Amino acid sequence: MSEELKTKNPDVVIDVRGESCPVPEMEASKKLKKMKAGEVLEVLTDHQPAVDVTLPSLAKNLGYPFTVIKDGDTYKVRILKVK
Amino acid sequence: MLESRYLRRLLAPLILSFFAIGWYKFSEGTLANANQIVLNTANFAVYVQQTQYDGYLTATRYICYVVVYVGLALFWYNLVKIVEAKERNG
Amino acid sequence: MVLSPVFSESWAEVYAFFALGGFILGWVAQRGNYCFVNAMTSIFTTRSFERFGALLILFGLSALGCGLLVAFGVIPAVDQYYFNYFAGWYILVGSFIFGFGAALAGGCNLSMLYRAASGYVQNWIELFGMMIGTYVFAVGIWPFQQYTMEKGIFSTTMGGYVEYLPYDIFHSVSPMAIYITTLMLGLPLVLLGIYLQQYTKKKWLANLRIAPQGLPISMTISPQGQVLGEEKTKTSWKKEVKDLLLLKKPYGTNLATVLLALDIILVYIAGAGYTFNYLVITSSDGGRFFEYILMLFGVNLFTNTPWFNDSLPIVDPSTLMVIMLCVGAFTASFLSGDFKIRIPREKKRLLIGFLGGMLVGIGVRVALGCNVGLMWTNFAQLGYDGIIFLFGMLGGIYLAVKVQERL
Repeated sequence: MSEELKTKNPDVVIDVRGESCPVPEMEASKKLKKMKAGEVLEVLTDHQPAVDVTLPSLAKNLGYPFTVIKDGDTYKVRILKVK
Repeated sequence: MLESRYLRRLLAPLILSFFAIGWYKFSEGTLANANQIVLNTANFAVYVQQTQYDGYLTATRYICYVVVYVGLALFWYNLVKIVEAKERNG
Repeated sequence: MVLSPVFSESWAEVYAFFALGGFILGWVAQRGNYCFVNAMTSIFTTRSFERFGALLILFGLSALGCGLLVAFGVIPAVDQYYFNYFAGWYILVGSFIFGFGAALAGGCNLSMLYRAASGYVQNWIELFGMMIGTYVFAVGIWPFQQYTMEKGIFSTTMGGYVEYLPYDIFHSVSPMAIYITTLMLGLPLVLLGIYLQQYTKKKWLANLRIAPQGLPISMTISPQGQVLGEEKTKTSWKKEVKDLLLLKKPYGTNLATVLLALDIILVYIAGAGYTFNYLVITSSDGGRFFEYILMLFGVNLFTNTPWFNDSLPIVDPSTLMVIMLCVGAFTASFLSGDFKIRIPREKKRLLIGFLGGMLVGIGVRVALGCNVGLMWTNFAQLGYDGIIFLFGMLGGIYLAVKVQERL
């Protein structure tokens, strides 16, 4: 399962680079509501507070596992929607 | 042509230094003019005492020196790092 | 009421302390990603009270620090309440407008400035919108508002000790009255803040137990799959301190909270008796940047425009504070490698940023101050306007979150 989150292609990708709070967590929250259990959302962001605080808060609040991949200046925050 | 991240590292500290000089020069020029205008219109509620005015300019001048030196130091440091990186990569 | 300086300082020293206070504010806020708006939107978007709790702790520590200094006779009481604001309809209305605009635009006055200094173009646009909003307020709203303040229409007619809680509660500004009021205000705020943070963390832990086993809850990995950092790993405190000093790690929320509380106390002590001795930023000076730009073209708003003609531009200590805030934030951002010009992908965000910025400019002027210069500062002043502002701001932010969900 842990490998799946790291290596699986995300089912939904949102690109919020250049945006600051509260846009990344709001967009992520909207998408997650529409996704099915077992699907992975990937959020592309370069906003540090979103990576450090708001997206992890969103995932923790919903009880969804998440991981952060650093790719140059961009962060890919992957959240797995579970039941 | 330099990559954008190298340009960023070189230009940003220079802009900081120019901003510090610009702010000091702007303050020096406009503040004297503004104080004179309120004195001419006898608006003593707004007029600023000479001691406060001089204190502001003194503090701003020294802060400007520090910011300019720091800006130039950062520029020089980054320039050396970028040249080293370029030489290493060929 | 007459101000009573504690230390004999030259004006240059007063300005230097304010500049230092601004630098620390910008640096710590940038490193800690400290945003009042984010703290409040999190309540409605991610149901997290962690950052809001940190805000309450900040207000409580500021009240305790400043109040106890007066209660123990270090700072005269008059230096604490001299600049207390008038309370009135405008605090509630202004804070609502401010909260709505700030949440739309993506930052309160503090985060607008430090993010602008870190390269966020949306916040540059917000700042410009704020300047225009300040001018709109000055010519369109201030004359009416000033009239209601003078006549006492849904407004008190003076500030100072009238707006000072020890006087309001005990009709006294004695050390004992101030001591008791300080504890009554400061301690519940700190305890409530800690409780909210613990409540949120417990909720997260409960959610953790529900998550499927074997899954990493969070970790940072490079594209090659190498783990760069894992949330649950305990690091030694020496390494933590080293990482913080070398700017490899952002400051934690509570660390930033304590540093900011110390910063307001520094400015409070250094400026006591000389000027408005609290952290105040775009309350006057971000909004006045429009005036400075016009001065370059020979237009002097301070000669004839309402509100602008109340004080001489530039020379207020808080102007230097704002400038050094930007310098501090830029320096922290640059040295940590975070500085980058960031343009939103959706260009409509720039228009939203401008409109939000205008509302920020109007809101803070109507409310007589922003989240820093009025709300946070007023807790340190042992006033009650900050409480009114807090509720107004929450209301505005709630509405903005609902609007953002539909945009």
